[in-house]
Amino acid sequence: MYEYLIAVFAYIFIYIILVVSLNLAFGFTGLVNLGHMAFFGVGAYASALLTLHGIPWYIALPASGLIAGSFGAVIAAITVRLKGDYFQIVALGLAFIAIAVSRNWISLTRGALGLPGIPDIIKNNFYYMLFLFAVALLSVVFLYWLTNSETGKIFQAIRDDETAAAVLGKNTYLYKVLSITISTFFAGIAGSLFAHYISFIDPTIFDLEFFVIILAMLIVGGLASISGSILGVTVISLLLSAISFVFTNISPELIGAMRQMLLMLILLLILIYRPRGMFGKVDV
Amino acid sequence: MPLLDILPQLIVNGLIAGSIYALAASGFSLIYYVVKFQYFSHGAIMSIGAYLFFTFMNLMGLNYILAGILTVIGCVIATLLSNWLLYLPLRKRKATPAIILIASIVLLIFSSSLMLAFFGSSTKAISLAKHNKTFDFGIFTITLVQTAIIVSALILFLFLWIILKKTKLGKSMRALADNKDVAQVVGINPEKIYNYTFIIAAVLGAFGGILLGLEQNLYPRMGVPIIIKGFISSVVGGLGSVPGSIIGGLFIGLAENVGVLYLPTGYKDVISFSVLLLFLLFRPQGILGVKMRNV
Amino acid sequence: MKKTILAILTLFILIMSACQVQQQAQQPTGGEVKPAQAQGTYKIGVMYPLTGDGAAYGLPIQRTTKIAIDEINAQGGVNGRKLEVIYEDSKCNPKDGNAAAQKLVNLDKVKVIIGGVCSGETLGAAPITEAAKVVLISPSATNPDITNAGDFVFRLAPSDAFAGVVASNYAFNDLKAKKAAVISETTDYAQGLRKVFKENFAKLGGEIVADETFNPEDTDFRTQVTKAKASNPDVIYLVPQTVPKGILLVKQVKEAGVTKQLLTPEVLLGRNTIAENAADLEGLIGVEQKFDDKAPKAAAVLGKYKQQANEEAPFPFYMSAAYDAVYLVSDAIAKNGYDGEKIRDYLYAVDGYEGAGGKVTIDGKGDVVMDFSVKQVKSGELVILK
Repeated sequence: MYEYLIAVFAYIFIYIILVVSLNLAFGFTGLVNLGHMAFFGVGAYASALLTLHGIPWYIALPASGLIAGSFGAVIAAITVRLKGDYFQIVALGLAFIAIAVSRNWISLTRGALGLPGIPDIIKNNFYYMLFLFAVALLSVVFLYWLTNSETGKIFQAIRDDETAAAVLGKNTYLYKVLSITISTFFAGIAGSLFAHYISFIDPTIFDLEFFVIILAMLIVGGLASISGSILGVTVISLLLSAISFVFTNISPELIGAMRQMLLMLILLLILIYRPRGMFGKVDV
Repeated sequence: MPLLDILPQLIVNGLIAGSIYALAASGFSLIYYVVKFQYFSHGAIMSIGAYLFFTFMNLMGLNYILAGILTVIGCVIATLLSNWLLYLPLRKRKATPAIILIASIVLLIFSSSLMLAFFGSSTKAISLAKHNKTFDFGIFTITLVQTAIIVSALILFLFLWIILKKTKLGKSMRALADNKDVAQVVGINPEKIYNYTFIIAAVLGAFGGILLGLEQNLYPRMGVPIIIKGFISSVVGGLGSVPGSIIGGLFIGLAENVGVLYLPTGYKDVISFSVLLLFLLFRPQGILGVKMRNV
Repeated sequence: MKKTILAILTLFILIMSACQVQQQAQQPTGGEVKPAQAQGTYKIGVMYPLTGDGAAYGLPIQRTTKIAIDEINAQGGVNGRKLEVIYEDSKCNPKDGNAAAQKLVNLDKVKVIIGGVCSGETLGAAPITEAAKVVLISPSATNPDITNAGDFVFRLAPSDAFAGVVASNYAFNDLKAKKAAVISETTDYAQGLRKVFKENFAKLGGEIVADETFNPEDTDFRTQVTKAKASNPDVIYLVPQTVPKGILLVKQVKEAGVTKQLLTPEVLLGRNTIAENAADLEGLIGVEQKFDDKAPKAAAVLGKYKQQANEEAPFPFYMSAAYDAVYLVSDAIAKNGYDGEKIRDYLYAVDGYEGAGGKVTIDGKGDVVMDFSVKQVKSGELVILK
């Protein structure tokens, strides 16, 4: 039982880093980055490749954040000028490009064969879970501080009224790039922690379903609310665990389909009844 | 054999793929144009269309005209249900387009599990496809089904154009698309027009699904890859432009198939996404720029 | 808001500390905590992809698994106890494979898991089962990396490393091919074969003149075929993941007027597949495990499947292997008891077991040892070449 709880919490802490960082761009800055998962995947692949080539994890972990963050910075530098829906579309397109590249750039990613044998950071699952907790806590504290700082205020001003922020003499372009860079840096960190936890990654890390679940965590918690994101992650993660306890006695070939339908139905109901989530403060 | 010899075949391959992409893109684009959100569950409607047609043809043994009519009716019902049960409540609660987009992807995944529960995981073939024939023109070959895909896509697009350009409904749709508030002032009921728009999209989805099912095979998640291509096509063609989305579909189909002349074929998807990225960076308004966007 | 965060995080720490205390409290007593057997059943975990694209393999394999379970239970179970199966959906990806194994191992306390079907989910689950000393036995994962995934990890499908070598040796030595083209699907099984074939063919002194791939959602391979044909190879190695894909691929190859020798792995060599598509597959040379779907045991299982599912078995070998996995596990429990290490020891000793999937022998790394044969389709029948 406790081993199972450790696993559930390990995932929760990884997802907290991922979702809170997504909230920085999506909720606080108003940049609907639907391609956040691509940076999670980049971080996972970066960390896996680095450690498989003998680089210790304490270098690979920050490096994978930096690699994902640099990708984020470059892409943001090109795309944040796009207005409204167009940014959202590039970001979504990015998620689809990531899966095509990871499947086909075989000399680097080994394609569908995936990367096995990614070393553990900490062998004992309980202590690794504590380590994840520490990293998640640091990330949350940093992002909480950031969103309440002067910079965070400017992020939110850009979200609410970009023209006004620009009139006040703020370089909104740079601030938007900064927001995406920080956000994707943490996505990369989360990806690295994830890769070391399950020890094997392949292109399915970019699956549409996984991506929808991460977005659901954000929406359920509410935009521009860090405590909301933490709660959203917890609620959806527990829901994901709980779903494997229902439909145990129906015809076996229906188990998977019924569970997935139930999960999607619950997500739809949440979206319909609480489109702003539990702590949502803003609309983006 | 020099690579250029295979070019005519690649162009034909591109047109076939492009027609199917265009069918997916036109429904997606129509909803984006009028109702203003990214309609990913159009892929679900296409897969429902394919499976309904399979049910009527293979399992119930109806003739293909009757099966086609029933499939269209089924898709219209499914689409209206999705509007009334999901999209209407979301609009009422003033959910943002990003939230509606997420809901439509969730619905797409839901429908693939529904197909899995009803029809099982194995790939199915529509019995009509057995009567397929191949025509050999020397420099390229094409099958009967593929010819039918291109021809029916053209007919559907003609109908769509007539509705949008020549009817009162089309006029209301355009008015609503341009400015919802003004349209309401002049007495257009948005929800009523939205319903009609969803019905037209459902008809496009039903035929798109049938043709897709005939050309390929049926499997529960068939709606996912096709709507992603439809999405790319409609962006490349010009988001919110229905004729643009059709051109975009053909363009992407051709780019994918001709582009791999010198590239490894696994990069087909990378090609379409790179085209998407290039367009978004250098011509975000798509092929049919601002000028044609009021259609 | 600060308070909310602190409250939530404190709650986590408290729960986790409680868990740790419990863990330490249990350790000194040592030994095996008796798994819950209150109802007098043996729990068997089964993790297959039940949704998503992988369900196309997961569900048929699940059905033959259930056929075996039902047979055993109908005969009174194992040592008078019924087998109780807990199904988890591992969705063909390492993340859900890992989560499924976490639940089966740590919550349901199973000592043996049958699965996964895909290599990805198997590799995601292996670290969990390995740490908990739970046996993981896959009927169909073929990725060469699984050989080294752990002491408790077994499989009844041969690694791609063997089949790819046999195919490339045959192409170079027997077909005297100097130039080969490869068309493969971007899935783990097909990519494993592609990699091994390419490496070995080049090592033998051959040249790979075209290396085309297609994605699982593609159904139009004409462009790949056109390119492979234009590279003028002596032999084309076709590696689809599934039967419908394979038939479509071969059809499009023939439609394009390719007359070169075609070589494939076992996917297209199902006896029913050949009978139904005799014209399309004529002349095809395939490499397959020494498996005969007309042998009495296999025919009985696949016949039952056909009766229940109303379709021909899509993956005869893997479906038979899943059936065998259940029987091997139940034999292990009957003989050695319900314990991970003892089941493991039993499996390592399996030598020449007559299963539905042929003669099963397991080597020191948990891989099945299988002979391969090279066969050719001639007027709807398979003729053994080597």
